[in-house]
Parts: sequence; structure tokens; C-alpha cells
Amino acid sequence: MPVKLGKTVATLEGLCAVEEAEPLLAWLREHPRGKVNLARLAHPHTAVLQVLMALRPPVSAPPRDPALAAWLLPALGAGRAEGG
Amino acid sequence: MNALLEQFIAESRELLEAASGRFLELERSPDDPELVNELFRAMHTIKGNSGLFDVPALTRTVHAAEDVLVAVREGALRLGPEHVDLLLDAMDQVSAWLDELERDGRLGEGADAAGEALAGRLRALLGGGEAAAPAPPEEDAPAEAGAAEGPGAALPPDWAVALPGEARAAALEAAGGTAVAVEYTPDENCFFAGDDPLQTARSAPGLVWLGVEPREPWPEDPEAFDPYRCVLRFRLLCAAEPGAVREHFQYAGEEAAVHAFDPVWLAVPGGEPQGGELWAEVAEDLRRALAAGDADALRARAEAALEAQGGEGWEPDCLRWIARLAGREGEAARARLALLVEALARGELPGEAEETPAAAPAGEASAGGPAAEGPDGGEGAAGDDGGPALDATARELLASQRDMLRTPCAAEVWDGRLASARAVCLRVAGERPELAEAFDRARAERDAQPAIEAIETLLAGEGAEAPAAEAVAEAAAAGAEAAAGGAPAAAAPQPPPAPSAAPAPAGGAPATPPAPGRGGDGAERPRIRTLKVDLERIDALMDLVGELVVAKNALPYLARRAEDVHGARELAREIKAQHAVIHRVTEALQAAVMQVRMIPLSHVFQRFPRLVRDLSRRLGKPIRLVVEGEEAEADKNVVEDLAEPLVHLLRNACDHRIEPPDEREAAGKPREGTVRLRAVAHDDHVVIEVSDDGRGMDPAVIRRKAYEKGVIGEQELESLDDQAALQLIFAPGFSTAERVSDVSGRGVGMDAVRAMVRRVGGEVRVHSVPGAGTTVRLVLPLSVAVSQVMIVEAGGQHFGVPVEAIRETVRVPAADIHRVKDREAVVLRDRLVPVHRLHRLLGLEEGERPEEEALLVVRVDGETAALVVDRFHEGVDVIQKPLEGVMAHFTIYAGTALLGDGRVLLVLNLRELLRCP
Repeated sequence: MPVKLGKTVATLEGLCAVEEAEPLLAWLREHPRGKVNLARLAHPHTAVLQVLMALRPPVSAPPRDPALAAWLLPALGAGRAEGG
Repeated sequence: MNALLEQFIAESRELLEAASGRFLELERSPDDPELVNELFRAMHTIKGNSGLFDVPALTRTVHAAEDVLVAVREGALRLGPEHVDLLLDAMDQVSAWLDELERDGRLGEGADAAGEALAGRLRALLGGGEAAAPAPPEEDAPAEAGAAEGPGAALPPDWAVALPGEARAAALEAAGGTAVAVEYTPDENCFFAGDDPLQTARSAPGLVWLGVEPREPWPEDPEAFDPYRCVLRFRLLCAAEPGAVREHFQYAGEEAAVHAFDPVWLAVPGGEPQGGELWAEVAEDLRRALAAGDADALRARAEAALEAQGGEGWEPDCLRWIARLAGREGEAARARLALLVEALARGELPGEAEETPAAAPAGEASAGGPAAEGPDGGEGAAGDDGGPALDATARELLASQRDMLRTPCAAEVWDGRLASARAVCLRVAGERPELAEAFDRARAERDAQPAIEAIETLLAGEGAEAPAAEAVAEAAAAGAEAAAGGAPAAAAPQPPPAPSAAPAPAGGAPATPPAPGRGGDGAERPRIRTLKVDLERIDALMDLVGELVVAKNALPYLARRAEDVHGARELAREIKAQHAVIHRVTEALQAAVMQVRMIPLSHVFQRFPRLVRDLSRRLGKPIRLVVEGEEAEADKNVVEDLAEPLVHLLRNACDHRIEPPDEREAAGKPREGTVRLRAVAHDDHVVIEVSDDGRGMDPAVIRRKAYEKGVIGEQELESLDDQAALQLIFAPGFSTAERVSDVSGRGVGMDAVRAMVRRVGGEVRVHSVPGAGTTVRLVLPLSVAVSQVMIVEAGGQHFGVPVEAIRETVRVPAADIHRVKDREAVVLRDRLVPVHRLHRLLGLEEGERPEEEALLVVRVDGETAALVVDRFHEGVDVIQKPLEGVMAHFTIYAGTALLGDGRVLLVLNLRELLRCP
């Protein structure tokens, strides 16, 4: 499963399909302080991206793909990224 | 035909259709600014789109119409009926051209002359002087070929200029002659269609920069957030051919606004100005390198200065852009460089009053490329007065056309692009035969080279000649700021103000190749709420529904078999229950498909105000048309078949029945006649009435005429009652017109009306009060697709009889049928009803006569008749198909229908059948 929902960190990996949006949203609602690890993310579906943008969870690890990071982090408000 | 042309024709037709109506309204209320605007937009759109194709006559005509509307809008011209006549003529001509274009793919011989003449007449409305003057720049017709994107197409959108410097620098570096900005706003429900807009955006060709932002604030409460409603907006900068980007976004349609522009306009310095003397020195240094045309030296000096002076602030940013632009090809880039150097010297981007330094070197550079003679350039950069600046604007326009022609493009837009470039060049440079010739050659050879060379020659030939400057003077006045190199976008150092107000088309549009297809059609267009579906698909759907009806009808047979043959009564009952359910669903499905086929009557009604107006003017009678109920809907086939009969009816009303004004006045009626077109929808039929307040019809006159023309015999002359006599006007070969005018009255009209109405299964009646007016009433079925028939049996065969014709079914003792000479008749409800035997009519074998005869009482054309049949069967819904092939000659059958048990049922055409002796 491309989205692993842990206790404090949700890890998004590879291609996150549209079905992941709902569980991710539910998890973020339940874990207001939850972080997201995007290191191995290749492509989030637009719906998943929306969830990230709307709830703005802190990013525990930015995407390793520089092209992805280049636009994704600004969209997520990179100022709140917490290195890593 | 190419898809682009097809789309243009369809769209233009729609616009024209709507425009005709609007022109009429405009005639009534010439001061309505909204109407004028709407018409202007319609003309503008047609004109702009037409620039894509080689239809100069069409473009010119629409352009002239547009100019007239501009004059109206500005209050310089007040529209009178003769103006509207002319405009309507122009619309007719354009419509005819569209037909030619559709048929032959080009305009016929003489189109140019006709267009010239029409445009001339239209422009004459504006007053003699203006007729010959070049149009104001914003009306620049074919130059806007790509202007589906609106003014400023070649300027980047505001948001692109406001992007971070690095993003813009990357785009500048990656892009060649054109960069593409895309604003992609996916539909909210796109996820449900399986779309991933982000994927679409990320895979855009040549993607340099991608920005994502919500188009509305995120809800405060995370619970209120719906992840499956797409509320994102994507913005992209692509270094790719606009065509490729448009193709990529073609499925996004109007959700993606694709905007092609020259990337040099992204070179806008940002940051805090630091000020100080030293920048002026740096600028002086750079200016020399620029004047020498030495790109490497320019870059090296800019970079050296950057290193020496530090990296932060507005001036260093200026230097960075200079370094990036140095050595770049194209006039615009050189102009931009000059502008930046000048900006560096002043500490701000030169405003609109100071375009000279920016523009002059552009002219200079074009004279001989980067290695041009220096001194001239230096002078130019030092600042001249207004004259040469205007000339430079023209030069810049010409150069941009040349650059555009150099860039390769898709074959299908090549012609349009050449035509657009030609129009711009000729307008800018004045009518120069050698230039026009070069363009013609280019078109003939399908190679832009001659045109490019001609422009080069013009640019090199010390283009300060008067005509060019004059021709462009007007353009420059409005277009200067834009043409000076995007100055407005850059006027303020930090967040650049909207260039949208800048009248950019002069310098702008040409750099954009015409938009192929819908990708770039701008965001202002309304969302698509309706689908255009090929009628064949709907017909296919209808056929399937028909098959479903047939299959459904098989279930009762199955139930009967289950009970009779297999004795499974329980099963039979269940099958019947299922049948009831399927029946209900099928009916709903059928209704839904029918609904899809329904179109409002306004489709045909909307052309009538024009018709009546024309008739009224031609006949010299003031006539007012009142249209009511045009929102009523009916099946597409019915509505379309309605047009012609209604035209006949309206013509007849206007021509024959409405009296001349003097006669009306003498009769105590208003001078203006009224023709009323009224539609009322009922459950399964729609009633359309054409009524007038004219002289009415005299039954006695009609009777006599009909007798004279041999339509009726002596006996009928005596016996016909008044209402029946009136119906004689529908008889073939009957016309009461005392004179044959060019409007109507050739003796075919009413006959044809009835034939056409009957073809769609309708009926027509006329009612008239002498002196007070006439009403013709059409009763039409809402749909022709499904009909109800009753099955009857005669001579062992089954036949269908349309239910709407059946009045009753009765059984009478055989003895009650009386013989009157060679006819039979029966008395039913105190009326004598003629009796026909179906066997005899159809030539079938007659069995033994029973004691009791089964009579099907039908009513056709107001006459009641009884048909003797062997047996009555059930009524069924059928999809009736017309007879084909050899069967088509048997007019006694209306068609065939497939029954549930697989049998083919012949449906009787009672009207024809009862006409048989």
C-alpha cells in the first residue's frame, strides 16, 4: 500500500492513487499533529495532493525526486517542512 | 474537411443565426448597448476565427460589420432600417460563403468582389472618409487569428510575469521563440471521470515550472473539506511548441487556457532598487557593447559587473536578465535588452512615454543583425523624438511577423498564419505591391521564405519612408506601450501591474500561431452545459430502445406459453409480474431517449421575425409578428420538418390575408397587421397556430374557386358546409390568390403544407372569420418514434391500425349493415357511417360472413368510417419503420413494425386505404 499510516507519521510512497485520499484525510483529521514522509513519493494523485494542501501537515521528509520537490514543497508551504 | 474548418463553420453559423435575431431587436431598440455588444462580440469572434482560413472576403465583410457596430456603440451612428437591411444582407452573404466553404473547402469565384462591395457599402455607412482609412489597431482582423486568446496573446499572462525569477529564467533559457503559459482549472468533478489533473500537468511537454494553488480558501474546519471535489488550479510554464502544449491539453478543453508568448517578456527585474551613480556607468558600458552588437562582450560585462557589485537587489537582477538575454536571437530580445540596459541607467523600467530608447535599437539591430554598424544604434539609444519611435514600432511588428514565419508550425495552421502575417504586414507597411506579391508567392510555393525576404528587404531598406510611419501612426498611439517591449508589464519593478489593459494585439497576436482547436480559447467562454451528440448515436439508442420494446412485448407470449403449453400457471404469473416491471422501465427509458431528441420550437421560430420583416418591407405593409410558446419542445424531426410549412403559412398570411394599410384603416383596423405564431404543448402533441387579423376567407369564394378549378364536383359545391369548404385550400391545385406575387401564390403552398404536416403524422385545419382573420392550426405529434397501434385481423392476417385514428370498436348484427347502391352503411349513434370491408380493400379472401360483424370505427380527415374486420386484438407500442424498397410504393401501408413474437406487422395508412373505392 503506497500510503502507510503510522502513529505519528504517514508515509507516502510511489504512486498514490485517488483511493488513498480518503484514508489519508481521515488519518490527518484524527492526528492533527501527524507528519507526512514524502521521501519516496513519485506522484500523488491530485486528490491526495489536495488533502496535503488543505491540511498542511508538517513534512518530515521531503521528496527525493528534485523535480517533484521543486513544486510540491512550495505548494505545501515549504516553510513548515521539518527537514529530515 | 479539416476539423478546424468544420468547427469554424458550425460555430459561425450559430453566431450568425443568433445575430440575425439580434439585429432585428436592435432595429427596434437601437439604443440597447447590450445588444450592440453582443453583436459586436459575435462579429468579432467570426472575424477572428476566419483569419485562420483563406477567406479574405468573409473576413473583410465581417470586419466591416464590426466597424459599423463599433460606430453604433460609440454613438457615432444610429441604426435605421436601411442599415439593418444592409447588415442582414451581409449576414446572408457570410452565411452563403460558409455554405460554399463547407461544400468546396473554399470561397467561390467573385467572393472577393462581393466582399469588397459589401464591405464598401458597410463602411459607407460610417461616412466617406473613414471608408478607406485603415482600421484602428484593435480591430486588426486577421492579425487576431490567434486572438481566440484575446488581446495580448503574445504577452505572458500577469501571473507568469509575477513568478519567481528563477522560474522565469529557466523558462527563458529553455524556450526558443515561444514559451507557453497554461492556466489549467480542472472541473470540480474531474476525479469522478477518472482524471488526474496533476498527472496531466506534470506530463505537459517542455514543463519548466509548475505551480499549484487552491482556487478558493481551504475550509477552516478539516471536516468540511471534500477531497473528491477538485478545487486546485495549476499554472505551468512550458518551453515547447504551443501546438504541442495545446494538443496535450486538448481533452481539458476550456479548462486549460493555453497562452503562447515570447519568453523575452519574462525578463522583468525584481527586488529592491539600490540606487547609486555606479549603475549608470555600468549601463553606459553595456550600452556600448550592445551598440557594437557584441553579445559575448555584453554578457561578459554584465556578469563581471554582477560579480563586482554583489547579487542582491533590483539592479543586479537587471544585470542577470541582461546576461541571460545577451546573444539571444530575435528583434524582441534585442529590444528587451536595450530596454533593460536603459532601465539600469535610470534605476527603473522606462515608462510608456520613453519607449524610444527601447524601440530604436530594435530598428537598428534589425537593419543588419547583431553585427550592425554601431553609431546609428548609439544615437537611437540616446533617445530621439516621437517620429522614429513610431517607425520602430512598425519595424518591430514586421520583425515579429518575420520571426513568426520562421518558426515551424503544423501544416494545418500554416495557411492561416501566413494570411495573418500578410494582413499585419500590409497594414503596418501600407499597401506595398511587392510585399503582397511576396506573400502570394509564399502561399503558392508553400514556403514562407519569399515573405520573410520581403520583410527583411523592407526592414533593411531604411524603412523610414512616410507611408509606413503614417500607416502605423494610429496603431502606435494605442499599441506603443505594448510594442515597446512589454513595458506595461514591467512598468513597476516589483509586482508588475496587469498588462491586460495594454492594447497588445499590434505587437502581440502575430507572435502566436493561430490556435489549433479549442485548447486556447480563453477562459471567458461559458462552461459547456450541453453536449452536442451526433444524431446517429441517438438514433442508435432509439433503435435499441425499439428492440427492447419488442423483446419486452415477447414476455406476455412467453407467459401464455408457460401456462397453456407447460401448465405452469405460477411461472406465468411471475413472468407477467416481471413484464410489468420491465414495461415500466422501458417506458421510462423510452421517454428519456425521446426527451433527448426534443428540441425547442424556437429553433425554427427564431428565423421568422426576419422573414416577416422582409416580407413586410417587400410588400409595403407594416406587419408585426408575435411569437408565443417557442419554448415548447418537440421531436427534432418534427421541428425540422416544420420549418418549411410554417414559412408557407407565414408568407400566405402576410401576402394574401393581411390587407394593405389603407384598406385596413378603412375597415377600422390598425394600419399595422398582426401575425401571431403560437405554440402550445400538450401531452403527446403540440399545437401550432398561425393566425392573422387580416381579411379572412370567404367560404363561398373558396367553394366557387374549387369548383372552377375542378377540385370539387357540382354535388360538393352544394353540400359542403362552410368549415369543410375552408379546408379546400389544402387541396392540390388550389390557390385563391388573385395575382401571383413573388412572395407566394403559385398554387402549391397550402397543398405542400398539408403534405409536409402529414408526413410527420400531423394534421392541419383552417378556421376563418371573414373580415376578422384566419387561423391555421397544425396539430403535430411530439414524437414520431413510437406509436401505438391496435392489431386487427382480416383474412387470417394481422394488421396494425394507428390508435389515434380509432374512435371505437363495435359489433353489430350483420343485418344492420345496409346496402345503399354499391356502398354499405351502418347507422351508429344516429349517424350514417359508410362501411368498408378490409378484406375487399386489401384484396384478401373473405371467409363466411358471421352473424355479427366486428366494426372498427375510425376518423380520418374529419370523416368517420367503419371498417369491417374479422377480429380485434390487443394494442401494442411499436417502433414504426417506413416501408423500403419495392414495398415503398404501397401507400396503403404506413410502415412496418416488429412484434414481440417476431412477426412483422403491416401498419395501415387509413387515409390512403379509405380513398380506394
